[in-house]
Amino acid sequence: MIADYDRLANILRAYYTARVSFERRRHYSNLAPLRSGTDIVDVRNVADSIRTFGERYLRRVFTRDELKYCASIANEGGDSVPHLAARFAAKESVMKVLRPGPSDAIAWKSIEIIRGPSGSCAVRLHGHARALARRAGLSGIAVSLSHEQRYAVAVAIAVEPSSMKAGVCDRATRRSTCP
Amino acid sequence: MPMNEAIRDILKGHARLRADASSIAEDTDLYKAGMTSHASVNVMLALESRFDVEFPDRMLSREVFGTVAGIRAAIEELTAGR
Repeated sequence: MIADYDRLANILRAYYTARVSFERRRHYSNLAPLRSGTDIVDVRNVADSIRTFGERYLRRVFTRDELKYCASIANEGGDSVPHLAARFAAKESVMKVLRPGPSDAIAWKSIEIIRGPSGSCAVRLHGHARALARRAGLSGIAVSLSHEQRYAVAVAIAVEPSSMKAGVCDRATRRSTCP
Repeated sequence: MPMNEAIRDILKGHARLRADASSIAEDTDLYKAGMTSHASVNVMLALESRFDVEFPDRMLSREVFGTVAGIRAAIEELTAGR
């Protein structure tokens, strides 16, 4: 368990170091600001939910393709629960990037984590989650998942277009107000 | 069992609150009281079983699941006319 905490601490430390490093570069290169979200899930809680609610839990939270991938892990003799937990963490990290208001209703299945041929994961949005991303001008959200037997973590990052737009506006304003 | 009591009973069993769910105020923010987003899935599923309802996607918001009052209003809407 202590080893799990150490690994988790290392993952979070690496993330924050990367974030600080990126922010410093952004400061100097005037790149657009980032939106980031992270989440951690205790794998045992996901196992408890499956035990208590069974298929209802799985079908309410995960898409058909997410369940298909996790079932393939189980079919190969692996434990699918940490993979499901990592996907839940990823959905929540994306939720933090989307920044929904209190009345914004986002179904868990409207944030889908898809796995590419190389093994890396990507985000596919549906419904209101997709609308929120469009409204915020987010063209894409990158996500990274990791898990141990006990904990699953995920980080999501998107680039905000606001500062670039602000730059355009500033230039436009300057043009219109300066002779 | 009155609805608020039934809701608090489910919160006690599934929300993993730091405070005692049986004495929590109607407008207390359940997320600030310790309910994680994953626990909120369990709360939703337990409420559906208890009240024989299904929360539509439009109700899956913090406004609905963030307080006892929000949950009660949603269940009242879903069970209206029964």
